[in-house]
Amino acid sequence: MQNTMKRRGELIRQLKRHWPLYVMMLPGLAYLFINNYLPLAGLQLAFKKFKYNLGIWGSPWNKGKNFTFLFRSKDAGIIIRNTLGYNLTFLVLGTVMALAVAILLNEVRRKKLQQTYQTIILIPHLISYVIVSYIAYAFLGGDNGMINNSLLIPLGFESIPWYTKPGYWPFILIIIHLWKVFGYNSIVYYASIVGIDRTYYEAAVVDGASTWKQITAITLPMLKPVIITLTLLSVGRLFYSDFGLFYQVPMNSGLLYNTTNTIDTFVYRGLLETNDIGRASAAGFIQSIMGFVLILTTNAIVRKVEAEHALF
Amino acid sequence: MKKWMAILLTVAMLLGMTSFAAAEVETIEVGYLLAMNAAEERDLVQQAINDLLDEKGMGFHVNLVCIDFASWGTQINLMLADGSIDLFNACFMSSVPVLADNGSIAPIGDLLNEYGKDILNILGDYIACATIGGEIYGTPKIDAYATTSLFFMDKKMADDAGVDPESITDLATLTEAFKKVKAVYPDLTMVANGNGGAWWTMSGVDVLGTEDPLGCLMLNESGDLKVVNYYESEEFKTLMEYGKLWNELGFFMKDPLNAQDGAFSYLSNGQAFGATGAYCSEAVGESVQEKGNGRDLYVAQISPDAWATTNLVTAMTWCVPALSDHKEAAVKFLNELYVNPELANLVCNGIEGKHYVVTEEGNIDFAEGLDAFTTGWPSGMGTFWPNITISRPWKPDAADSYDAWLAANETCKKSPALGFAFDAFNVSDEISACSSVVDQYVNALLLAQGDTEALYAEFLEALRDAGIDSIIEEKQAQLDAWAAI
Repeated sequence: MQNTMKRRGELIRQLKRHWPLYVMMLPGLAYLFINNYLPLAGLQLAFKKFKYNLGIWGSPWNKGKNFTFLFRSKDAGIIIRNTLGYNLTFLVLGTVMALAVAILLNEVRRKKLQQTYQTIILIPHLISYVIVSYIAYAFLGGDNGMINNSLLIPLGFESIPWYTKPGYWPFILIIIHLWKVFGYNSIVYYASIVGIDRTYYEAAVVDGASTWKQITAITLPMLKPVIITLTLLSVGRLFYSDFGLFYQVPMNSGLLYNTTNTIDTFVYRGLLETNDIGRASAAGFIQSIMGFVLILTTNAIVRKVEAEHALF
Repeated sequence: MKKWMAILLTVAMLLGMTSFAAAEVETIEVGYLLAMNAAEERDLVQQAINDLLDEKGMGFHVNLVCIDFASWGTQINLMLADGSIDLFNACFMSSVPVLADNGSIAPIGDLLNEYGKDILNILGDYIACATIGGEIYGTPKIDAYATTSLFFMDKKMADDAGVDPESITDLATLTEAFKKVKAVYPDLTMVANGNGGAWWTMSGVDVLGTEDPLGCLMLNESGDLKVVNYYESEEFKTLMEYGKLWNELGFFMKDPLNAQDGAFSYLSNGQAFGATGAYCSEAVGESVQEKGNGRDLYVAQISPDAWATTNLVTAMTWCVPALSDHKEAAVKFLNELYVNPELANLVCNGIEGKHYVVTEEGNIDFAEGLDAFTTGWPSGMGTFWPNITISRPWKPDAADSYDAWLAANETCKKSPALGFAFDAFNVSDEISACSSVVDQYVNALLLAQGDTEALYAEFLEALRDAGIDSIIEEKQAQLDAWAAI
């Protein structure tokens, strides 16, 4: 009792002393509340047949009928496989690639060059997927595509109709995704590397450690918390897919659906005609619940293995 | 204290003024689609409309809400959710039965009986197409409703190759014509396809309320009400055969599935000999597409008859949102749009003398110094409004050219299910699943991409898995019940 009284007194003292800081926090809190907490009430739409004239609260419940369309056809297995498969691959390869580039970037000693490289690797991140889809088309197109007309045919191979062969697309999509995101992620890792205390390296050099040894013994262990945090955050989005990548880049070619259809593109195509708010919410509901569960599980595992790096 | 009093009084006065101003004239918000140019002079046209309404003592004003074509569906949906629009054309978005089912549009039968009698007179039996569960939910715009499949071809190229458009009457004769043109223009695409690969414009089929023909009537003289799977029909198989043949002969575009433009854009920039489209007659189709593409065209009819179906009639239906606070005024204004030529000319063509001038022949042309791109009010959007047929046609169409549209509605063949509105609620999962399957396979099949035979078998099976049989069954049951009344 006395303890809580004391704590309350402490809190009031803190408020009195730092009130300008707390005031500055208000807009952020308001934003968070309006943007991230208020819409939670809309989750009920996933279980309702939405009627415009009755509104969100007045619409009738419909006993989970919104969810059935996701599992109606054999597409369900394919879209879940694709969504999870691609995201896991992106997660593993993306992290490895971003780490490698960040470490390499750190080894570049000349300031000018380093800045140039940083800018260059960031550019793909800034290009919209609509434009990326045309860049890809410039490579893969049958009529003027570079790969067919400047590479395969001159070398005596048959040209490949890329946009009708689903088998190639897992590779194409992974390459495009990695190309687009590696720069941004490396910058994040690079920023943490820069923050590592230089004296560790100096000591290592004195002890005669090679560059490779410095990377494995100092850089990577120091980066572990960042890697874990970033991975945990992406795990929450494993059930979401990048709509631009999976819809724009294959140019919505029907023959490629087996390897390019994900939960998001499936929902988009299926509900385009009816604009059904209830069923779209149902899909979003499943995605966020699964993401929530995944984050909790992964975090629990991390806490088991290495408590200090867990998010919560 | 005095200061507080003064502030309070000022606020009260201001509030009083605004509410007074709002009470003075009721204003309805009318959705308007921007397609070709930005309609910079919307305010002028709106003012002219309101002057006209004042003159007639209608007691309300309109505010035109301009929405870009690309965001039309999304914007209207948002506005339906908060009632910030009072009258709109339900096109390029969910169909009327879907809108009625999700409660976003209001039944307006009673209002029409009171304030919209002229509309009911003009539309006659066609109003049944927008009647769902016994309630009228909208009014289809006046148009030539029936369509038939047409092939549009470049006049110069056809002449160069010695192709007589009269000789083309079906896909077989069209193939012969392609061969002739191909001999003269070996690298040219014969038939352009649109976004995603669609090159065929279907006609002679009543799709019964879904966008894709998932369970449909094959229209013929028998008047049969048997719902069938279009994709198993002889018509579809014939199309696939021609697709295969044309693919072998190199008549399609390269990478047809990757096309990102409408089929006619390839025609208008000379990259293709022709494209298919559906209109009520060769003459109407030719006039519309020549204006739209700036090229001289020949048109050949390649399917036997023009048929009117519920889907075609309701493609553009004017509706009043359920959350609108001005339903009466909206219906009054709608009625004016159907019968008042002065108003129709304003919305379809702009202001006389400012945007257009009347020629000696009784049709209209751009006012001096203006063209389709520089005018302040879009010239080609008349068909968006409820009744273009009481406005003046643009050059080179004759002053009475819209009479042909109206005549076509009297004489066209009508689907035996005309007026039947399908309630998709029970099979909405199946429809989503099937339309996804159709997206995946149909264009590839008709363009003969990949191993067509295996793909076709796979397609039919995927359709069955997705539940096409339940859709057909449901449509048949509802159709039988409708026919029994």
